[in-house]
Amino acid sequence: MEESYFDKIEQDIKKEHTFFVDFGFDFAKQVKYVLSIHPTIKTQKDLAIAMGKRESEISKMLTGLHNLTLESISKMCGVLDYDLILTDIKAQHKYNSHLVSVGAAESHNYYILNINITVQVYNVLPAGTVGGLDFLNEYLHSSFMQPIAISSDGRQILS
Amino acid sequence: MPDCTSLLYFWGRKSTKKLNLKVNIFATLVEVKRYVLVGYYSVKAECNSRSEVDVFFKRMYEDPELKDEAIRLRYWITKIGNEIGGDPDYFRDERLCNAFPPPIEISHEYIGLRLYCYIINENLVVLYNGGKKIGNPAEKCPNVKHHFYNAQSWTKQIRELEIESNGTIITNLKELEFRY
Repeated sequence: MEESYFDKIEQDIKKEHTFFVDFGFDFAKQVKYVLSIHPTIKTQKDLAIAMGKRESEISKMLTGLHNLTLESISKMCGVLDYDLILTDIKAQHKYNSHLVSVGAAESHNYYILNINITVQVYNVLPAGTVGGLDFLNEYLHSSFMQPIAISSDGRQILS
Repeated sequence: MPDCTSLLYFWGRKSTKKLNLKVNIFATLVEVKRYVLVGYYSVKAECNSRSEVDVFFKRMYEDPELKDEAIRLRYWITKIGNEIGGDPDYFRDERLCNAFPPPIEISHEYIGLRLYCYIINENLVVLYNGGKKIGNPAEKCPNVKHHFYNAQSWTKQIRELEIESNGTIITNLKELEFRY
């Protein structure tokens, strides 16, 4: 059977190709989303005015004909007042901020886990139960009755 | 050994006499690859050993100047197949049919290649052939015009076929035949 070049060329796709395509695609989606929820900057034209640029320049920035620089990304974040790039580390801080401190004892800070603003209640698990966030996430969708407290690293049920 | 369809094209172009060849070459759809959201098919002439999309990628693979663009275009086929589906917003409009790569507003890069195709539905896309577009419109570009015309002809015929499918699979594949 003849070798398929459709398959052969797929094997030549490198990480740099996928990152290039995915980043540009994700970034433009993010900007489109922010424009849809922004109170005043709704279109690329509005964004151009806010950034003091021509609409064609903004269009080029978002379509890759013009290299996106750190400076231009930062300026865009500034006028939109929105962080367009969320790294793993920033995400951890952003979502950990939902942990609300309810007290401290010994060397632990106790928290109730806030998910989507409302407090989720869970069955009390035995004190000393240890697990990762994945382990705790198993309980997020169940209907439980009592709150739990977990340690500040999210790994141990405290009470 | 050149395939039957390229010989026909050669004779048609090189002959100084007006040829009135009435040769019936038939083509079928063949499955190329199935992804999560899209099953890709291509056109294969009965006398050819390769489908049209395979001929396209073979030509691109063997041209050092076009290979890198072809790899990037190929990744779009995978991305649309796995993550996006046959959404016309992610394809170029080419009269009756469509083309890869996605419009520049989505791809964010300039790719000069055109791979003509036809979106049957969100789960089925037929891939044709194409080339490096060096002129506008496609009908006047020496590299792609015959691929463009073939794409229009095949799309017109495929639209008239009664395709039965189940998600990303054409279930009556062997019954579908049309003129190359």
